[in-house]
Amino acid sequence: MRRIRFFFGEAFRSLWRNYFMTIAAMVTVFLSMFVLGVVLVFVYNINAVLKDVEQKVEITVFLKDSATTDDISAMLDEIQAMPEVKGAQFISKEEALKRLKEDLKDHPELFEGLPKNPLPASFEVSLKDPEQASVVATRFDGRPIVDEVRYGKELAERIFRVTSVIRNISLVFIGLLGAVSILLISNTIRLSIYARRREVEIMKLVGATNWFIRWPFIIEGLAVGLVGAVTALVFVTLGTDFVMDRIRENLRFLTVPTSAVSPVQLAAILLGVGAVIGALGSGLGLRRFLNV
Amino acid sequence: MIKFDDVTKIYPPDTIGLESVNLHIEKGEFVFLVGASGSGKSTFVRLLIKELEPSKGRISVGGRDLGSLRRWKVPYLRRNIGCVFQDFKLLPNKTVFNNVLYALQVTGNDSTASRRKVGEILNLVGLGHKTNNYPHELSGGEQQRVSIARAFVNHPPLLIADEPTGNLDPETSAGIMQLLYRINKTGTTVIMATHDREMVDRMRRRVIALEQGQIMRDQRRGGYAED
Repeated sequence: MRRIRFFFGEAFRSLWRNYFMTIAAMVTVFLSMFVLGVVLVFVYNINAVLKDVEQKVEITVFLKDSATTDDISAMLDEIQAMPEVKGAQFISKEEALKRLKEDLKDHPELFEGLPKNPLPASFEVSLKDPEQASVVATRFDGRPIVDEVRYGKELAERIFRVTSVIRNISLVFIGLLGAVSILLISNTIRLSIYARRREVEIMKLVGATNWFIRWPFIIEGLAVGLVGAVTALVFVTLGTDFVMDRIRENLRFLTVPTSAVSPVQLAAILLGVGAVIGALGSGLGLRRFLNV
Repeated sequence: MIKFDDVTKIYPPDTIGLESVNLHIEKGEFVFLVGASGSGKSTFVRLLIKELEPSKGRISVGGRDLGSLRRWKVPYLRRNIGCVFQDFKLLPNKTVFNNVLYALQVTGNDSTASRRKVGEILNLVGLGHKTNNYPHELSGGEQQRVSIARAFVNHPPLLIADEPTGNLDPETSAGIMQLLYRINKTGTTVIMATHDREMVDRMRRRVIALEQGQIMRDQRRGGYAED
């Protein structure tokens, strides 16, 4: 117990005494963790948006105006019975026009003098697995009441391709960033240890074991890592809230989820990485000076 | 206590530190190690605390063969050897009291009793009134006394002093010598490397003279130069 208190006392005294190095190391951790945090939030949100976009792949079956109510209800039953289908909805001609007017409500002049409703009625079919779209779509080919089937084949495929590329790129990016952070932080810590190598040498001459010397350094690294990470966390959290509000205001068509990454998760990642890098950085940075 | 068995230390590529040294130091002896700079005194000291490994030969301290001593056990060896250096080697950020206490803390002793012991030994070396000062606030002689207090607070069986008076004026040096002499009286073996001629002549103790890494003379009650 006394020994633990001793180690903590040593660590905090030397953090205080070498305050310039302490601040330098904390700023380094802060910057690295801040960038890492921003990238994490970004990637999480992109991911959420991508998932949302993927979910939007659905099949629209346009009907000929000649289709009767009986034809329509029979076909709706048939569609809803298909195993791949999650849900299906009938959109009447009137409904379609109403929606379009809603979407273009800033330009009512477009609808003036429209002789009759030019929009076809349709079924909107959503799928359990978006990738099944082409299989389901072909079933409607050649039906007498069906005018056209659209499921955005290219769009769907392109979306899947793009999302997987974006996911891979962001993974690589996070990996690189992690490596850079570790290098940067351990280098800063090594500098601060280098300044104190004489102390370490004396400790060894008096008969201190390596761990006896190491513990205060590790605690120091841990403290530096945690303080840097907490600061970064605060900034990332505040920053994302601000940026997300702007995005939501300006890009209405994207349904950006309110919180794609939970604050707890983000905190756990940043604090964990910060603490581990700090402790490891100073533990390993010390190694060279312990061989006396 | 200490045995050197045909010990040679060569610094790569071919600088000789010590060459074929054989010697035996008994428990409780007071030994002067004399010689010019570069004669091998420091190499001798650094071999004893296993800061260096010999290129050839065997060294044993307190019956333990240093060659077969595992690395992680070196700290335990050093706790049994008090070391005093020319440049004091005090921790600059610790008070006098904490510098001495540190030597006990590394052994896991951080009790009220060990604090009392630190106070006692600082009184003994005449620094009872400066326990809360930092090393840079002390004179050279005072710093050296702190370092002797630190070396002796564990009551090690062996105390090595490498030019402890090298940076001090004659009067202060005499005080330091007195201290080492008293420590020797308690039964601790003292080895002191020095080139302080007067001191050695006055003390009349065993003198081992080194020259270019070899023992030139080993005399029971000698002076700095051959009588």
